[in-house]
Amino acid sequence: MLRLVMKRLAGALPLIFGAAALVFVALETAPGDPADLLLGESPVPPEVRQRVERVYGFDRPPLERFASWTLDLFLRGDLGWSHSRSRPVRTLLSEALPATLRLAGAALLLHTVLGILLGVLSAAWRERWPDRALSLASLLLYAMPTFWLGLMSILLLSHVVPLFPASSMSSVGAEDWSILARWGDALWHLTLPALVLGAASAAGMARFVRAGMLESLGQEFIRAARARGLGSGRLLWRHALRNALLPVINLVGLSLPILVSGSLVTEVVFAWPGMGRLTYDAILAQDVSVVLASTMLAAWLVVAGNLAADLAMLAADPRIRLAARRSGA
Amino acid sequence: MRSPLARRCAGLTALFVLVLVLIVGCADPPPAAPGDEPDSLPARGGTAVLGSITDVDSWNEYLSRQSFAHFLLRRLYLRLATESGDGFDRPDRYEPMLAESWERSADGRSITFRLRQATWSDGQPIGAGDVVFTWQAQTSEHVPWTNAASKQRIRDVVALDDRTVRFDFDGEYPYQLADAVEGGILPRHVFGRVPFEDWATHDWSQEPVGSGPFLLERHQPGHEIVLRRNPRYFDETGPLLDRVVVRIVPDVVNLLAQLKAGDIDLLMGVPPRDAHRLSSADPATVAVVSFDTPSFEYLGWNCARPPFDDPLLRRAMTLAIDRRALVEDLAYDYADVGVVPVPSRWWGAAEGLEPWPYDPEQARRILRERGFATVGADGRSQGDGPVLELTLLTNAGNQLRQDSLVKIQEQLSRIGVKAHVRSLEQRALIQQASRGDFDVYLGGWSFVGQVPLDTLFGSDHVPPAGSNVVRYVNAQVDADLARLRQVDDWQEMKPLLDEIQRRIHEDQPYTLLFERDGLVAHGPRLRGVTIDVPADPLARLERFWIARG
Repeated sequence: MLRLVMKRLAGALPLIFGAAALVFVALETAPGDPADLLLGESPVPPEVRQRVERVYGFDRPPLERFASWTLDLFLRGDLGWSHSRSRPVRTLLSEALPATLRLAGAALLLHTVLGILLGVLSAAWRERWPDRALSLASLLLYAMPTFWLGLMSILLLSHVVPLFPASSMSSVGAEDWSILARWGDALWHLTLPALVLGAASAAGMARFVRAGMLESLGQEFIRAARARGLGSGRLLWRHALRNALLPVINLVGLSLPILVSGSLVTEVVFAWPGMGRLTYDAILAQDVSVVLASTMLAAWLVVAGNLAADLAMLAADPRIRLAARRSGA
Repeated sequence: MRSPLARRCAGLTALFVLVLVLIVGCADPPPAAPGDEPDSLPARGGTAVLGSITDVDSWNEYLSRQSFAHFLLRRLYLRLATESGDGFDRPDRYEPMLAESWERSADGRSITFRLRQATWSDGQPIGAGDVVFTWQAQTSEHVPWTNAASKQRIRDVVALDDRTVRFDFDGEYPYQLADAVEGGILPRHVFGRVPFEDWATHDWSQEPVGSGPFLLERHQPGHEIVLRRNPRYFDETGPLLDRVVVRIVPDVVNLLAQLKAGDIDLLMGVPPRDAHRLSSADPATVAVVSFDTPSFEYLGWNCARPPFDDPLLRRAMTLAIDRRALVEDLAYDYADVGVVPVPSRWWGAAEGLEPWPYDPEQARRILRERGFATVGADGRSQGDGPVLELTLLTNAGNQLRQDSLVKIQEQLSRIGVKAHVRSLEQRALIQQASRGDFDVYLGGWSFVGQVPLDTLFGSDHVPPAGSNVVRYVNAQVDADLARLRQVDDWQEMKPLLDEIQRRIHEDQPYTLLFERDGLVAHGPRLRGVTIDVPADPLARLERFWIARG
């Protein structure tokens, strides 16, 4: 297993570096230059513009800047400087990543629990009205753009019925409250964005689980269990679901990077100070160092998600374990 | 099978609802409308919550490029003196801040400031050495301060003793005091620890030593800024608020909803349409305050590209645009029709110049004289020349500009001009405009300090050498600008400024659309909101207070 992990991580390095290089090329070929964005529309003397370009290194050739960023990263572990936020990129990431993980983690939990629950119920009531209603709801949720879902949920649950806050991670002055109140406040702020991010992807998961359950329910061992007089609940939740869960484990692992990258829109809509908003703002400001670092982090998450899914499959399915042992992985 | 699950679900739901009810129930009751309670005396204490769509880009004034950051930084680092906001009929007068007094030398080439007895927030005295250090930073080639030009005519800054400092200029001129006091004074014992070469890559949010009424307590990028009262602020009456919290939400609709719900107390940069809605729909709950801000929206004509190299044709375009209607329909009267690109309330603004009227008939006549076909008021074609076609550019993502262009397109079509509207991403627009590859574009200016007529209209300031993007060339204007640089007295400057503006008005390199007001909205909890300094809505932040109850 350790060999598998090492092999995957070593194989991921060129992938991650390649992703960063591609993003750099995309940013460099975009029209305009960051000095224009920094200085805005109002007139400034040419010498001020030259000074800005020199101090922030915008006057250096792109290849030189990328080489310098790469060397700093590999030799000193330095992710660079954000000229749009005037902070080290490492500091910005360390502030934004926990916020994103909190949101994506809650969304992943919702995505998994809701997806499995709805998928199982849908399969249990196959072709009856609850199944059709759940299928329709799943399809609608799946088809809705996240930003629209976010805006509608703010409109309904923050303004029409003011149940949840429309933005931010905490209330003003929450840092002075007791731990319990702070936790409650954090949960209150987390609910709406996590619902929006998790519910839409749970709809896809529910469809996936339903298909797996139907396949599972049609198999011989289920018929045999039913013939032995096993209760329908036990049959559904313990036998059919366990068998249908293997591909779901894979899907959950792959969902992590999708949720993290998908949080970009949700974070912008809910003013959630995470990686998504950081990257979005950095792209608009052509802040290359931040975009490169967040791209690499997202690429790492894809690799980690894949790896976690593979390891979970290994742990859950003896057939895969055996095959892996035979192939020497 | 379903019963236990259902029971558990019901239990969890009940618990969740209970938590929600507790949280919602513990929230403050909605504040009373301003009219519900009699005006009371300003009270000390409390936290004001401000909403902003932009974040602070740097906590060093000399590295920051955002106006919002400057609104806050000016509350952290005081200047020697500050504008009184009365520069309507003569250059601004100044009120003492860190300097308690100043005097000009007999030859007019020096100003000597006497600093007040005050300390930094860490207890260190504020001295002449800090002023000298700040000037060194402002003029350092390693510090990319966008307003560095204001220090060009200062030859030296000399500390005469601990509390006396002299500024020496290369000559006498009207803006000496404005140039000397531009920029907050920095604590040398804190900022001096970092060499100027490293300023651009230093995290200044970790240096919370200041001289102003507030100090930076915390900044979580993209989320929240917290300022707290400076206990060592020289003015013992001090700020009335204990804390100012800025909530950063990148969506103005969201912020407006929070303002109406009482979650935030003050919102800056309110769009005109929303200001109109707020003030007409719910004036008892939300108050809208407009203030002077020298910012313009304009159409810039490419004076180097035929047929727009003809001043009379450019004037015809201005005559064809009903700018009053734009102000009423799009800016909801929170703006004035622009005349020339200088603030109309600036002392240097030319008197007697009126905006060109909306006169489509005269516009048609000029077009026909230049060989273009037009369309009459009755919709019939006039003349047999070609139709004038042009492309109107602006940046994507600015709704006011997009709406303006659609209206302008329709108005131009009434005289037979075929306008194509195109929105470009901001960077692409700047690049295309700098290259001179455009007919006309809609842009905007905000002036900080003096109006840079030189760099906007001087023929030697065509990009990349300057900001004369429209490539305006007028030998007489060039000569007047050169003479203006030689004049020392503001009363002698005035006729020259008038003449330059008159020529620009005649030539119309820019069609000024609006001169916009700044707009803020505040809820009933926040009192004492006075905005009397142009372009600085938080200038009197220390006098803002929170109503009790």
